Amino acid sequence: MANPWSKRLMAGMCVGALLFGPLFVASAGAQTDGDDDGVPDEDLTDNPTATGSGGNLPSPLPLETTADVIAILYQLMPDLDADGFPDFPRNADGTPDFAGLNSFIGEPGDRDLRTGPDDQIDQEFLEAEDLNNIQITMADGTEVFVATTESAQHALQQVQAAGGDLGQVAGSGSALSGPCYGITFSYDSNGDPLDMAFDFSDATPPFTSTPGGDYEQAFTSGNPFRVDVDGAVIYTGIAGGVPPGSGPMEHDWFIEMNFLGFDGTNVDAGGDPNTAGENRNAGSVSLKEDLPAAAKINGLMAINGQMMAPIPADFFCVGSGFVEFEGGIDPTLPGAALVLLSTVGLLFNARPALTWGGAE
Amino acid sequence: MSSQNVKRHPIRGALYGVLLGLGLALAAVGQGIVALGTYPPFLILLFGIAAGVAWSMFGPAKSPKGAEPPKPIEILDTNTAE
Repeated sequence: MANPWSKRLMAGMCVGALLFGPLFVASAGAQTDGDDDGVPDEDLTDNPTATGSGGNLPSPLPLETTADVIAILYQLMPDLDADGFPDFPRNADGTPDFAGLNSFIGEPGDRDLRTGPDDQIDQEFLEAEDLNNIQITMADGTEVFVATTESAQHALQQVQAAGGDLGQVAGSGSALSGPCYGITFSYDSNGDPLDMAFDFSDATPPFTSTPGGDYEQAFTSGNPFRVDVDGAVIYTGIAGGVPPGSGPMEHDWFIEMNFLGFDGTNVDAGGDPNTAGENRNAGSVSLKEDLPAAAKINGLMAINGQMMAPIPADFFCVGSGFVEFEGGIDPTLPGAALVLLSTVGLLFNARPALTWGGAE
Repeated sequence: MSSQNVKRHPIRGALYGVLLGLGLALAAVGQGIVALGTYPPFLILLFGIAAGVAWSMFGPAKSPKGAEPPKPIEILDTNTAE
């Protein structure tokens, strides 16, 4: 006859497997091959935690270039309430339009800003919103987006309203090195602003602003980048030091976490031939739609990522930081339940026991 | 008089230790004390296993179940007495 405690132990382990199995599966994403070159993206480097120098590409970005890049985002998602955050697209009833975010910014399923002569951004929308001031210019035979001076100035004002300062280049201890610059905004499940961070220099880590108007290093364990598991993140970035038309081609990128401290579980990965040589991009990530329900768990997560490309030579960016997930399942309660279960088990089922032996 | 033996359960201790470590790690992650993707959750798990095994090996022993068994009764062999 089986020991009843053994049955309880098995039941407890089954509950544990049900609770945490999906987490393991969800975080153990399959390796991807974004550029179909037969090589998994994350295998392009032997050392995922290596620090990058940015190769031979110059930095930091000129202020005007930075403003141009940010202007793209504000052109697509204007900041009508002037809080520094691009306004989240909304349905007619005022609810956040997560599905529309994909068509609003980036190609559906690809999340790249629509560029090129045959795939322009929604000019009709821009004209309707009186935002038709993005210029399409020719540079070495390639059509690219460049914001007008007026829209770039507007973008600069918006970034400053959000607490950013494009001229900030001092500091050390970079958590994002290499010629990858950009700004990102996070929104909660209601489409309301949650967090922002930016980095436009090799010499500095990502920064965010404080309510007092000061700057604080972003993506740290003490000041993680906050995201809502039912929210969304938008971003725009640029490959610094390379002119339009000479952006990174055949590039691969990945974001990974070191599961239980060991290397390399992919959170997301991809790549693009980028034959047009675009040197800037904007896009969105709808966590509400893309994050599996089992993975919507609150907590602090350490992540790192890389982007590398053979063209231009030595194009290599590396970053690491902390992201705090909110709005999901709080693991504190199941954790406490496990502690209670294990404590009871240890006290009553695993403790040494005296037994009567033979007569002396 | 009967002697007392100590019976230990290190495997049970390790299994409950896994649960203990997982629970502590989850609670710590939930409270933002440690981050997923770093070593501390793994170290907490190891701590739980070690604590469980140590408890099962060196914890205070439970009293034996039931009363002390009676002494064996000595039966006289009457045949040999004759």
